[in-house]
Amino acid sequence: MKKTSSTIIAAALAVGLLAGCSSGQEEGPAASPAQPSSSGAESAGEPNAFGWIKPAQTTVIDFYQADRDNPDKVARDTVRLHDYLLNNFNVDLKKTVYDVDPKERLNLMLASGEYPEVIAAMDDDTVDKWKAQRKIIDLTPYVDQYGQNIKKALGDKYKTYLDEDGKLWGLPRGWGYLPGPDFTAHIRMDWYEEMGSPKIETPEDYYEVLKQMVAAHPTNAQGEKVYALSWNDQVNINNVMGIWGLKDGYKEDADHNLVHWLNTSEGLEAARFYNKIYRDGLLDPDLFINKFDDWKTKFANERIVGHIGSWWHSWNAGHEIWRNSVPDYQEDMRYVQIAIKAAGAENAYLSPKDARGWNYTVLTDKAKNPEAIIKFLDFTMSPIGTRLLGWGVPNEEDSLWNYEGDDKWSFNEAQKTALLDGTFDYEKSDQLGGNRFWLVHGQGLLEDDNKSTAWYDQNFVDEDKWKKLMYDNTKDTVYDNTARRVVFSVDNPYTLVNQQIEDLVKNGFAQAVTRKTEDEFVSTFNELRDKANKLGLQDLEKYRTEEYKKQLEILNQ
Amino acid sequence: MNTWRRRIAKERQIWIMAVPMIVWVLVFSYYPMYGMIIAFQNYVPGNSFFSGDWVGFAHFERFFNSPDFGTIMRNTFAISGLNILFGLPAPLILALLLNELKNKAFKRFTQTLSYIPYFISWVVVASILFTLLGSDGLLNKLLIDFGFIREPISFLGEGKYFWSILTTSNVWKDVGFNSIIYLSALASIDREQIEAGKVDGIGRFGTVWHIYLPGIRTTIILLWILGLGGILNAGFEQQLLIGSPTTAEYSEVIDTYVYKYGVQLGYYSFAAAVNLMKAVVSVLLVIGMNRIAKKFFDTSIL
Repeated sequence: MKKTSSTIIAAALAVGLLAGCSSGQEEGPAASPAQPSSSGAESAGEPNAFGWIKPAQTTVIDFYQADRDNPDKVARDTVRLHDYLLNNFNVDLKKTVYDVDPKERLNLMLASGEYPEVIAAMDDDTVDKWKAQRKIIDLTPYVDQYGQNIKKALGDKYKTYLDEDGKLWGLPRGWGYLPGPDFTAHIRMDWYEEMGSPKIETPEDYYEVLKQMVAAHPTNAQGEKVYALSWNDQVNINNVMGIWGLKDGYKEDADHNLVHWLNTSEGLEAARFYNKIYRDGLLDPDLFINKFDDWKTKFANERIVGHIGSWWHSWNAGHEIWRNSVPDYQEDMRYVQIAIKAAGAENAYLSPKDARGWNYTVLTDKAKNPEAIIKFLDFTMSPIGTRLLGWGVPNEEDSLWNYEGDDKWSFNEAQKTALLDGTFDYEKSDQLGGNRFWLVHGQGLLEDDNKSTAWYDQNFVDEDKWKKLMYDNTKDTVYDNTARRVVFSVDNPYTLVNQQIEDLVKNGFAQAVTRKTEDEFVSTFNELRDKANKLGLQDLEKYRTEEYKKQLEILNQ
Repeated sequence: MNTWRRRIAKERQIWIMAVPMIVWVLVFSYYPMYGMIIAFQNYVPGNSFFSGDWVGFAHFERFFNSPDFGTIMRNTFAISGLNILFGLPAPLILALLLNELKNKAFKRFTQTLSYIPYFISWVVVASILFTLLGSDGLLNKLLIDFGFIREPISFLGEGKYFWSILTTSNVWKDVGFNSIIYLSALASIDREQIEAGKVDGIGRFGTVWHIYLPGIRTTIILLWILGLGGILNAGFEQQLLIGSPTTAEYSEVIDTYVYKYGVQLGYYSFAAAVNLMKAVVSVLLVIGMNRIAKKFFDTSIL
């Protein structure tokens, strides 16, 4: 009996294992839900309100976006726009994302041969890899035939996206120049006004003001120590160097030769600035351990008085929390973005802009109907197409905009007021699908009015008191960094050196800043510089300079 | 042949259970080994394993010649060494202590409590460590309140504390689960020996030294051999989650280096080469330790 029962159990185990080895479908990361409805095919062949001729057969665009994201949130945020496009354009746009490293995912797709028709957010190196293996198609003939808007929008820059054989392998995403700041210094408005709004021009002025703020508020409401400055994992050292006149971490001479900040006196001064604050006990001791959420918690609890980082950091961690949590909240209890420039620096170069775009959208060799796909992508590059995909579903009560047809549109006043009032519900507005299907549209100012942009909340700078203040304070700190773009692909001999130096710099900067005496700081900084040069930093500088000069020639043609 | 057939017929239940496992190991562990060939090529994903450019030992040389090689190996041996030094005796001591508990309910409760950390992910453990050891953490608060220090110590920000923090959290996490094997070994010791020891008046410590430890010597040596064989596996998740730029000099180990400079940069061949090197060294260490154990303790696993 025992033998029989144990034999049966063993056999069941074996069968169970074999059943588990079946090649089932991979469990879904959520793509856009909803089966295509038949309503999309109605009135096929006729132009819709956007001038788009609805195809008789539904255009299915099934794309993977190579960004790490939450599939459930994406599914929730894309359903309305998906349905709108299906019903009004007869285009079934489906987006797939995974909450995993996109590079690994793409490599897995390449190795397994399982990938969709369209892939968005592919970087230069990956495009080259897929092109070499003939997994993506040449888009030139399709763009030549159906891409009028694409060519018009990209203008002279279009030819810069072609390879040495004049072929186009990917359409850029997020291209264009948005003249708004990304990276600034931040000062707390109410405390600054209490102090009499002293002059802040240099980093030393800034630190002086922060010191006074800490002296006036040495602990927060919970009795915890307050610090002048901190850091988080989203702050980029190269942007900080902009305060000392270095562009994207490099000093440039009149002949466009580039020198890394480690090999400059400005770099030493920048690191010294932070070290001084650390030695004064006013730098958060956990600054280089902080993830963004850790920093945000401290900032929201008023434990950090200043910030040098992305403009939205202090909005997100400051007044957007305080207006809901502080009982007698006043409007000035917020941070204002300012520029600071070291004495002797030509300018503060805080916000580099790469107008070429973030990455690319490609069509793979599995695309069954590339003509139809390109036609739709071409539409999305038009100003009205960019508005639709940038701002989401129009003409509904909670929409961000209204569209009347014949290129006539307007903003939804209620939503606009909410944005200007600071009561805008970002979470809810995400569900309108704005910028959720970012395939090829740009982020710069739209050509038809030279004013509006795909980023909804950047459209009212002149009417938003605080945004206007930010733009006015930092307008000279934004610069075009397109020419300095370098692709570190797998077969680039400098890729490894670049990564080693980046890691060394990140670790070494942290160690130098947290030295307890100035002599130790200088010695650590010099050691860091020598190690980096030994690793090949000066060769890297030469390589970057050569690439930069080449790009300048191309862009100036 | 007939003997084999008869034997298989007699042991058929065991074979029915074992064959799927054997097949599974062959298919998922042995068959994919041919992929190791990419360690000797410049492999590009999407291509066949046999189509890449042959580079021989170039990736191995690159690893050995990398500027961080010394630091990485030092950290790897230090972290693994500490884990072995403290991580091997700790579950043994816990098992011996648990074995002495007479109250069964309390013993079960304590045992269960000791397992729980094993099931907590490193992400959660990292959060706990930040809460406890951060500059505003509980430990600093206690030290300041009791007057031991005036300013908080950045335990997670200074490299010199990193190895201790990692070893302590590793031991805390694994001690309960790893004590199970010792407990089951202790349970198999002949009760008559223990009774005889009591009669001889050797006391508790004597019982441990003369009866328990010799009785579970095989298990101890087995785990020691396996532990030493894995000396190049110093962890990965812990270093990524708990490490920071200020502790990188002490937290960078082989696996984190390979992840950064292999997988993330797309140098799969390099990652494969280093992992192959680790596997070969581990096998050699296991064989070597096994021979030593056989020679000196008359115990072996092979």
